[in-house]
Amino acid sequence: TRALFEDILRDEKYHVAYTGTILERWRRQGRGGEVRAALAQARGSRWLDGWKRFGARAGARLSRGILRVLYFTLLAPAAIPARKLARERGGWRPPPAGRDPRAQG
Amino acid sequence: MRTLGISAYARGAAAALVEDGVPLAAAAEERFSRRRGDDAFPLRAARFCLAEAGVTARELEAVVFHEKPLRHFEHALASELAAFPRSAGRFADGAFRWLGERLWVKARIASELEVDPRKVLFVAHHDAQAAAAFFASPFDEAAVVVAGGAGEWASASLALGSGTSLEALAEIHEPDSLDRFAAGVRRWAGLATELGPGGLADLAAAGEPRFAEALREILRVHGDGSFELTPERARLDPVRGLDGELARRLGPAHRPGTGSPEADAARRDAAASLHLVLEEALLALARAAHARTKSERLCLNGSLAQDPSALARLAAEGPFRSLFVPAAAGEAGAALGAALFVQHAVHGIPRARDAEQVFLGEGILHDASAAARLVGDGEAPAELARKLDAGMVLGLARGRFEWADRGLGHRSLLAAPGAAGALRKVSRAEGFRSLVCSVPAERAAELFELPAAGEGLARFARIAARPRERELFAHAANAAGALRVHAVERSADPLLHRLLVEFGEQSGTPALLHGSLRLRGEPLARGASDALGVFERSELGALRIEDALYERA
Repeated sequence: TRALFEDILRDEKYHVAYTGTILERWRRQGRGGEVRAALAQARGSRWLDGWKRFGARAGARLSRGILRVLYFTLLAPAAIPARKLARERGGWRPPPAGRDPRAQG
Repeated sequence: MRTLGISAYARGAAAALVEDGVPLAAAAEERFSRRRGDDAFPLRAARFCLAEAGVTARELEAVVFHEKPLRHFEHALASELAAFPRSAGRFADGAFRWLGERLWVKARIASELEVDPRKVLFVAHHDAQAAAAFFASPFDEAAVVVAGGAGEWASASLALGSGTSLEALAEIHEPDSLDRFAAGVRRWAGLATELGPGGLADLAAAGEPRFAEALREILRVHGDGSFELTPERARLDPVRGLDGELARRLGPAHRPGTGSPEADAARRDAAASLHLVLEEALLALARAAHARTKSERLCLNGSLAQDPSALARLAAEGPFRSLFVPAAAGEAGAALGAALFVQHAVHGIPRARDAEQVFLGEGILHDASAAARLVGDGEAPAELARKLDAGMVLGLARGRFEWADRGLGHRSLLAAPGAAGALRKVSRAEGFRSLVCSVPAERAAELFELPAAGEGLARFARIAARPRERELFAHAANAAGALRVHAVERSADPLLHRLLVEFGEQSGTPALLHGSLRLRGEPLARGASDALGVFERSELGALRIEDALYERA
């Protein structure tokens, strides 16, 4: 595994060096503005991706927190019939009435 | 009529495409994502099915999902609320997933596949499982039992299949659930969830069922075939409810061990006890199905259908003359079942003659490298048989991959019976596990003690049996001396059949040990690169990809 990672690192160093060479060539050809814009976009996209990841995690945490509050408030009364249902001894039951494949429930 | 079936959000997301009763393509998502047991929406598998059939999603008449999401959500909500207030965390996680994704599956299917939402249909999970078993079977009429499975409310169901109709007869509802019972006992015994039904059966063979009496008090099986979880706590809490009851009756829970479970007597005995009680429940269900339907044939699906030892006992002691279990028994198989249900049970499309197909996956694109030697199908059996007779473990990758949880000849490992140790080393199968043994179908009963009712199960390696020549297979069998038997029909797989016959002529016994072309913890190989990956990272002696034979120097 170590050897594999060393291979990958060597490849990445090559890619970075090669990209750097191309960008330098473009600067010398008078395309410095394009190079700066491209580098700014690459750096900016890292920040944007990080911001999106943070947003997704924060949103998930917030959602779960709200769901917990709902659990203890709005849904708590439903626990009583749910427990009653779970205690019922069932045995064999007839299958559900509707088998319409257009219905989701 | 073209129908795409989809199963998702349960272990083994998959897609399957059926045209006029004939399955054209089917695959589990894990084959493409390379994540074992991938349960995410099977977009890659669905796209593969469409491409394989040469159709776009717009040309489909229907896309069918394998469960009724609203009913399943109702069940999930009721289960968590019954465990109030201990289930707050689980409720939040589960509701997050339901409200974020699972309840909107219709919209997701419509947008991801670009189909009209009116074409998206839903089949109850047990109907899908029953259809996957019955409509893929060779029977015109049969009783159908689905035991286990994560669907809406049903935990077990009985049905009668006849022609294109599938009549649901009765159900047992959660919290009375064999899966819930088994999960609780596994957790108490510290048995890894990675140990599937077959692994549990093999471990059970090495133990004594000294806890069985206590477990029968917890899961009570009635004379009419129904069963119930008796402890109230177990009925109220779907996940932890059994813990206290098991600790009270059997002693403190065992931690999951770091070593092999075979080395721990308590865990072996727990497996044996659990397995015995589950077998009894399965037999009771079968008897109930027979009493209600009077049929001589049984199609079985669900988690218990994946246990070769339980099926062997059912074949030997049960009331049916013929049994059938689909190759893809389990959650992934519901994708094909959902499509078949809509085609046959809803639209009355006649059943195809040979719906029992298994090689429905992606084919292999491979240009042999200079490192390979070309060996065509004509000379391959003799050459491969020689290598196998010399003790080599051989990999086979050819044609379309299997619609099954294991290799059945197209993504497989093969070894001579005497090379069981070498095969275990390659596949990293634990010593207590039974291996699969492939034999020509016409010689299966001669080589193994197969009950007549179970002969059909050998087609997909779904039955355990003792070999008549015990010594030859001693290192491939479990503690009870049984292997899983795979009977190969000449018409189903001519190359593998010829290889078995050729090997029999060279060695004296036409039987080969048969593993799956994968490394432990990974899904089955998809194409050539996965196959070569297994070759490079294991002790495989040789690998044949289509006509190209790769050998170690």
